[in-house]
Amino acid sequence: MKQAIILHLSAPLQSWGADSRFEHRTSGSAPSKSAICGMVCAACGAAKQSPEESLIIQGFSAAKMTSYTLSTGSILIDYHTVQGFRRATGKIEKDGTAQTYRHYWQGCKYTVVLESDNRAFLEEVRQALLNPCWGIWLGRKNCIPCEPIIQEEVMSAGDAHECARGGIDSDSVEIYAEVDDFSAGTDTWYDQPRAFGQPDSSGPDGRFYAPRRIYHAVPLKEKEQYFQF
Amino acid sequence: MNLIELHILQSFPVSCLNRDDLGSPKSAIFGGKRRARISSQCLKRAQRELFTEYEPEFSQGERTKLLISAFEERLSMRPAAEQKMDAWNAELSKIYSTGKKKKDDKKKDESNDSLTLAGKLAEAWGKLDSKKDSKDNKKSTTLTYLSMAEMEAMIDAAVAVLDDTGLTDADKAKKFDKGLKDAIRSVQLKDAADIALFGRMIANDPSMNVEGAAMFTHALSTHCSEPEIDFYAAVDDLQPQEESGAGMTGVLEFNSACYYRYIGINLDLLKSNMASTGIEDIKRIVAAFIRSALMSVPHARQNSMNAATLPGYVMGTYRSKGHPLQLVNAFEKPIKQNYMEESIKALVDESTKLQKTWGITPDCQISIPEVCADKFISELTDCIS
Repeated sequence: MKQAIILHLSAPLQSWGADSRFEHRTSGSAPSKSAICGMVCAACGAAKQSPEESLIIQGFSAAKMTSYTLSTGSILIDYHTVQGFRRATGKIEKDGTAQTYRHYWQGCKYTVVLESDNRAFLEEVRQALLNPCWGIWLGRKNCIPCEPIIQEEVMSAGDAHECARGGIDSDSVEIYAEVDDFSAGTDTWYDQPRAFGQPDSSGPDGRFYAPRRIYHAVPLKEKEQYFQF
Repeated sequence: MNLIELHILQSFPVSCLNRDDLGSPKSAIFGGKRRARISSQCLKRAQRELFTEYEPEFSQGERTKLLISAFEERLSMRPAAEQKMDAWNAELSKIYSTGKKKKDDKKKDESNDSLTLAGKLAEAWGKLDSKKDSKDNKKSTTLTYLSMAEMEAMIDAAVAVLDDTGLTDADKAKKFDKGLKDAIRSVQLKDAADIALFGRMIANDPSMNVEGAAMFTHALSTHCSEPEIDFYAAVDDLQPQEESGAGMTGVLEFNSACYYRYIGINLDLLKSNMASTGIEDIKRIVAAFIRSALMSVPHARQNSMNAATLPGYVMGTYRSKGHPLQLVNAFEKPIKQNYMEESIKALVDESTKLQKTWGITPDCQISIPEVCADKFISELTDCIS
């Protein structure tokens, strides 16, 4: 039977970058699997391209991740200037200042359910997040959590999904579920991490992501808000 | 992780400490209401500048483009430099000119300037600008943050290769470049605590990045806050009396707020970033960091608005287990009145609630103004081992 753990992701500002580079650094609408995998690598103190990191990436490949949006917020765009940045041509800009616009979700609260057959892996993730080696944060370094990320023990997957919804019934909460069957999904996200790039690097080189099929459902009440007729 | 956390409540009157691209004070929505905000990057910079004033010895990191002159100065302090400088430069030219085509020589003459030892050391950090500046200095293309210890280690590595008579020119060239990179990585930032705390990103070579041990949130006001508008008129002193009207009018935005700030220091990462620094020096560095956190204020509009205040309340904790946790939820329901007094109550309540619920009691907890700043700092740094 599948076991699972729940991650509580709550902070005034969160950002889950999916596909932006350069000046407009946007956020996806829910935590990406690669970001959570990276957070766990930081919690375990697993350096890039280390054997520990490989094991964590493999564990995540075999696990399914679902996120629930318990509280929907809005986007904040932070104006942030930078020097010595890389241009689209690849060259480093000598003088001058870049103006970046970094997107954050404000007032959002997510719970993430990580399901796996490998109970030992889930235990390891849970212990690491309870007492991490390196700093952990919700997307960007300034997104410090305001609730402990781990609040429960490892439990059955069914119980975990119910608990993660926080008492709200499944029709009323926005969900991004990972599905095995292509036809059961509504979107494809490229956030299944295969490699996080060169050691000590924050750049895009050497990062690889595989596709992950997502089923996205928005509660009926909110659907009415999105589509105003 | 071993973690020191600072939860700060600080009130600023009429001010615009951090502006967005349109000149408005920054804001964010929290608990469904607009709050005043100071970005983490703004707070970090103000604090880093004050930190280097408190501990200049530990802030030998220089952020500069004038790398060549920096290296020339370091080289000139070596006793052997006087006799050997020319020999080193000649050796360098020899090992790097092997394999160059003759017809390119004319073009290369201009860049021959870079084949001095100082030039080659500077180049290891990033591309040099091919044009010289107004003072006839050659500069690197980006501001680079490097420490004296790193420069010394690089010079040691470079000179060792140049003096080695047992290698061929081609081998020397390879060993030279690799030696410089290894030297930089091995130094472990003995004298650049500011880099160890605040971090460094080198766009040219990400392997020289340093993850900062300090973690900052954006400061948020504990109450609702909307920007206000200051309409100003500037009088023309020499305008004739008969003419009425101002010389110039304009609007500036400002706000007044009581902010909650969170700063965390990952002590394990700080110690590993500064691996060759003794524990007493680490305590001294953390003390200066805490003091600069409490005393620094961003500089924007200080001439016209002078929003110079000190925190009204600071809670400091030391924990040996757990992840960074900010207490901002104390203000999810915005404070309605008596901002500082009510914010302090809400902050202490939230802290107690979190500790009780999740069993995360800190090993040490202390607050200002219950104790004075000196005792606050020494109690926290005494926890470091």
